[in-house]
Amino acid sequence: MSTGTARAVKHSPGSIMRDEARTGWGFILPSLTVIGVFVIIPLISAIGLSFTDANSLNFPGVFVGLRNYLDFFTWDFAAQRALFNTLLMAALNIPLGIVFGLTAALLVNEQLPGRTFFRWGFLVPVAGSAVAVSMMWILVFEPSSGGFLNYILLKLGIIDEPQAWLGNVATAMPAVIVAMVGNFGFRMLIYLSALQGIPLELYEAAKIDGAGRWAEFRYVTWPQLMPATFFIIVNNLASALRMGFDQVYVLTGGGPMDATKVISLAIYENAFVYNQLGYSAALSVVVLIVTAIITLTIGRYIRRKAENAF
Amino acid sequence: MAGDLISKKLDASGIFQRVIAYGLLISLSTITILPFFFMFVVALDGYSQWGWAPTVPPRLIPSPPTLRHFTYVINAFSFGRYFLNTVIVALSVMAGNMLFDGMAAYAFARLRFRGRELIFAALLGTMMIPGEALLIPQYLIVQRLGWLNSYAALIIPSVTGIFGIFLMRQFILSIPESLDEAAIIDGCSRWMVYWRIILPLLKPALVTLALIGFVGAWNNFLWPLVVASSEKMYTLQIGLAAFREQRAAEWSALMAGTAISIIPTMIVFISLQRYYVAGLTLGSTKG
Repeated sequence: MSTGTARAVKHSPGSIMRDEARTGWGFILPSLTVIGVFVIIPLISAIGLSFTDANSLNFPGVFVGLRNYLDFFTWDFAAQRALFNTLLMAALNIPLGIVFGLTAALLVNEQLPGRTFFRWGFLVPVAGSAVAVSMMWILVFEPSSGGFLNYILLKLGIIDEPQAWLGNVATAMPAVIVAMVGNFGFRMLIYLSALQGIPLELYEAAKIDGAGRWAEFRYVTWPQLMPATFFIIVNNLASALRMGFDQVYVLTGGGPMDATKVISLAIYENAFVYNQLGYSAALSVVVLIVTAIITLTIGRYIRRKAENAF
Repeated sequence: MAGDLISKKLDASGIFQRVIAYGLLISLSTITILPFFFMFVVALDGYSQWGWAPTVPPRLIPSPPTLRHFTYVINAFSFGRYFLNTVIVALSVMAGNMLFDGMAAYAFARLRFRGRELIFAALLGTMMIPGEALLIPQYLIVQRLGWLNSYAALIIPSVTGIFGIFLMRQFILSIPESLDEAAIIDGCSRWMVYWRIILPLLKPALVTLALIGFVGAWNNFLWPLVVASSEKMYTLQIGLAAFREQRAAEWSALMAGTAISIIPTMIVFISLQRYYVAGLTLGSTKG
């Protein structure tokens, strides 16, 4: 192949293209194999499994039509609750994360003494795993009167006796959400880099027009940050339904009485605790459908707004 | 204007604004910095044999400070082994992402072959799929391959991903194609063009990719929970959750384990965070 004639042949246009195609396939082969085996095939088999009564002893099980889906909609209140909880978590978490991230970015962007400390401090939970950060929150929520939160609230007279924050149906969900929104540092970073991109002339013009700080924020900063806000929302919507597994697993195990159960935990439990692979696969497909609905409705609406904003 | 607070003379309204600003900063830090402070206090506290306990008032200074809870979780609970497993998995995933994502991205950006657009579009479509939805079939495949409780199960499903491919492709598209053409005329093969010319220009993108891959694999919980049931294969996250289930009352040991699992990613992330934002925003706003 290394002779002169072979080279000449290799460089004819047709063979260059064949060569390029071969190289192209070679370059994508490793990724294509892994994604094929661990994403595409699982996607198809999840849909297939969801119509069966498969479990680990009876695999791949018998075709049962839509029974798993009917089971979910008619009597599996725990899983329905889990889906509702997940959506609720997303509905609270995304706006709160935006408010906290934006507030943090605006403050850290000011020339205040100590800003570097807060900037790093806000980033710390972003780097930590959800499991580790949740461990810290277990400590904070310690149910005895020596727990950090209980002690402070008792001292301030806000509560009369120590609360089991994670063990009480009324407080468990808010507690989990508090533990989750500490993760706003990433949004702060996005807003910080967006803030740096706002042209200074806009602020000068606003000042000439006599704008106060609030008017400045309302009519210059906030509109200029719109693309960043849209980016954060769209990004979070796609992952809305996978929210909370790690935190809930560690903090509450989904309890008390399913008050904090999320849909990913229901999928995990049905598959690996109750050994209902087919049913669990049906829950997975429900998650896929809901995610598709969310990204195609809200996500698309926001994307269109974002395009107008640019 | 942003950056204005200090240039103002500290008149009454300036002071008022500062009070508000610090009030907000401190409120926000109660859900971010404070839990970390408590973690370190508890992990270092040599109060009793088991360390910190929820006394009234809570102990806020480790006295006497001690590192013995760290040696305890490492010696008595194999946190050393979990740490090693996590390092092996995170570094392998990182290396895989840097190698395979870049290669695939180069092919999708530069090499012409039939079906390229279709495959790329199909792969992009999978980006929306929540990982949890594929958990059961992924587990069954790993089981069928005989990979349960092996590094292969922890590493291989994550060595490449469409997000990384997309990110790298965006960077490659911003490099002028004339560079490739000049090198090919000089007799370089496509592989050499990629390896010698494109890859060195991708350094910032590679740092982003490496960071995301490393931190993601280090912090992953659900997947190792499912495929690594034998204690020898635990990662730090699984080891930590298991420790807590067995020893809920040993607060100091639990927080020492938590600190061990969190300090490496904290250092990596904080020292490289500018790449993180640059990569994520570029990867998702253009294209």
